[in-house]
Amino acid sequence: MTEKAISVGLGELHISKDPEKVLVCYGLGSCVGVSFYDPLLKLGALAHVVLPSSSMARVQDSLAKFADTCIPTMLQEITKMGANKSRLIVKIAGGAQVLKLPGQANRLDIGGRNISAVEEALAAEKLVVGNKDVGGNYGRTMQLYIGTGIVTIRTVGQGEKEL
Amino acid sequence: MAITRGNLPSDNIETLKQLVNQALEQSGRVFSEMVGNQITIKAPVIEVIPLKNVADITGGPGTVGTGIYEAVTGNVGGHLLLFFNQESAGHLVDMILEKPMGTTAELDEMDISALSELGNVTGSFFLNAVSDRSCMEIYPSTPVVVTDMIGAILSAILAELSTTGDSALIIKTEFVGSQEIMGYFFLLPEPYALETILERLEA
Repeated sequence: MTEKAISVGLGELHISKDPEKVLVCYGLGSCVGVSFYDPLLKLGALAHVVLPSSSMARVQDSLAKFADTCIPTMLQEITKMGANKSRLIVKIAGGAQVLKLPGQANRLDIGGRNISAVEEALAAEKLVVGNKDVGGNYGRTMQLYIGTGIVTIRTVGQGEKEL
Repeated sequence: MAITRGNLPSDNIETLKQLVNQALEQSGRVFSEMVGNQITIKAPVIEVIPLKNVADITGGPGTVGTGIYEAVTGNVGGHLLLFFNQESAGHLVDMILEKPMGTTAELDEMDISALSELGNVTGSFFLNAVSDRSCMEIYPSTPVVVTDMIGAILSAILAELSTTGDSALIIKTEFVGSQEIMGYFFLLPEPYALETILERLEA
């Protein structure tokens, strides 16, 4: 493998058409990774969503951080680079609840809310989710290979699989 | 005013450092007693760093290890996390349960409960020391033990903290022992928790 890994951190969005690159969200827990890929142009985008809604935060530092602002921004940016919305392959992963406190079930369950918010935002843009690997209680590393459009999910204990 | 990078005066950092040092000494002692081995807790580093860089402290968000997490509630709130690389977590279990070094690889129920107790004792002693000095009531939750990527373990905590800002104050230290124990102690206070503690200390 000669691909160059580009880390997509919390609240970040990366777009690339360099076939040598692989965009990676390392260690997604409650966060949700969203990938868009246009197979004709071999153009891909990966976002690392942290929170469901921009109304939850006092500081709006990054549009990609929130599901409701990330999806429209992502679509706008990738179509600006020539992608065709009808060709986009959309995949999502993450939204787990890794830390579950006894008796305080919901305190840290941001994951479930993140998944719903991402799916709603995608539906609002009339984008259909191709494959997804969400929920559960374990972390995931999501990789998007720009050259092929392949998305893989790596977990601790279950190795790597294609999404 | 929330603490952000640059506006935490050095006097305050010193006061906090002293408090944390004393508290860590306490928990270091019981930690060593429990594992039956001399474990040194390094002098803490107190920093305000961007939330997206928190996971880099342990070598990046994909770093796999075992975390012992406790939610902190009471007069001030926050999150306490002990994080050990997989090998160290195994060594700790071996020490606590008096098994030959290198026996524990995958954690079973008994191992998890041993680590949970370790977290419980370490966390309680630490918080009691802070509580005594500042005359505040602070309680740890029951510990949760989880083996996963550090990014995934911290994810929900960072998400919660990111609703109020983009940086967090991190109190970080390392455990070093004769038996290659490499671990981290994270304390992530909720915004405004620090002002409350500092006010109490100065009063």
